[in-house]
Amino acid sequence: MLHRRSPLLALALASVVALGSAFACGRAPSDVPALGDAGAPIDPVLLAFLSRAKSAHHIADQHEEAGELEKAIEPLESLVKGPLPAGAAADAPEVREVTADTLARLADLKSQLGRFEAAEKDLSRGLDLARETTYFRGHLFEVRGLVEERMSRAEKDKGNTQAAEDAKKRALDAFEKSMSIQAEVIEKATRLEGGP
Amino acid sequence: MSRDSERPLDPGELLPEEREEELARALRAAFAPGELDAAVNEALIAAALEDPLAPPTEEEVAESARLRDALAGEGEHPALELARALSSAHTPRELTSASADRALSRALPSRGGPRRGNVIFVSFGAATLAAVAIAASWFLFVRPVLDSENRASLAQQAEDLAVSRSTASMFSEKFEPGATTARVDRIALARSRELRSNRYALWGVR
Repeated sequence: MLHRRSPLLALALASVVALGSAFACGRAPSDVPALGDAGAPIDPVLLAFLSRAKSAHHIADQHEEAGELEKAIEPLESLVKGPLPAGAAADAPEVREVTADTLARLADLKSQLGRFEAAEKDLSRGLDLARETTYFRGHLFEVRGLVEERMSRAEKDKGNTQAAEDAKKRALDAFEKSMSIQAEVIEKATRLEGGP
Repeated sequence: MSRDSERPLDPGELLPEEREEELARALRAAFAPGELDAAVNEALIAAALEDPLAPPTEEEVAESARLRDALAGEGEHPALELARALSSAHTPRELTSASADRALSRALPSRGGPRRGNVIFVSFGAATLAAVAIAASWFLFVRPVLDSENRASLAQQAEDLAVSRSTASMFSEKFEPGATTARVDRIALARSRELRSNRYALWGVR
């Protein structure tokens, strides 16, 4: 009898141990953070956009090197007009920053072709996307300065002295704003690194 | 494992001891994977790094189709039994009373000896009660704890994943005119590496 009862005793003990362990170690599932709380991990949709951006800029490079500025604008325009990522990646900082940088380049190219109004629209859109104090925002103001300088020269060539002076003043303002942002970025980086 | 040891079992036939042990090891590993040997881990990463996103070969496609059909009850596949056993070990289905009785009668078979009257009945009854208690504790307490630990582990994995964020910290100097392509290249490269790391993390090979 003893021999037959031993495994039964073991089974009964095991059940008691299992129950005890369950009570001792049990945690309510609600204690565990949900997966969605962890943020938006890098996903293939974001990568697809970045890959598209990369290709667009390389194509633009080739046309720009060949002096074909209109053709250089096409792939970049196509990038900023979409399709843009949807869902979690729609508001990804990378998408906003790369789009803003692309808009700065578009403004630069368009202003070289004398399309100053279109260039300013691109810059305004870029500044809406790059609101934080970063080199992206500083660069947009720098390009705005270049655009206004070109506009000033164009107006001067046309004999519009006052318009040329106004554009020159706006260029100076933009360059100063750019310098101020760049200085702020440097200061912020220095503070983060624990420097003076 | 020899060919003979791979033959399907006859109804009521028990696994040979060595096969039982081997199966138990595989099931334990599937249910609660242990630490991966560092050398094996390196080998897996090296193999995966060769081209983790490569399309499957024709042979892989054909084999996976055969296994899928076999799992759906159409045809045979050498990996069928193992796939089912691992799937059951990883995500056990609820135990029905009929299958519990069947498992119990196989685990405690009648040896065909003389009836032992009430003593045997009481012993068998106690065994059933103990098994039911274990099963109940499993479903009521142990499995929820394991499930929550799985969720905790998944949440930890999610916390470890690289997330979308500003790229501003990648640039320590003001942007040079005419260098937009280089910046976009740099951003795309950094994020593509992070996406690959995320995939490895989710596969549990990091």
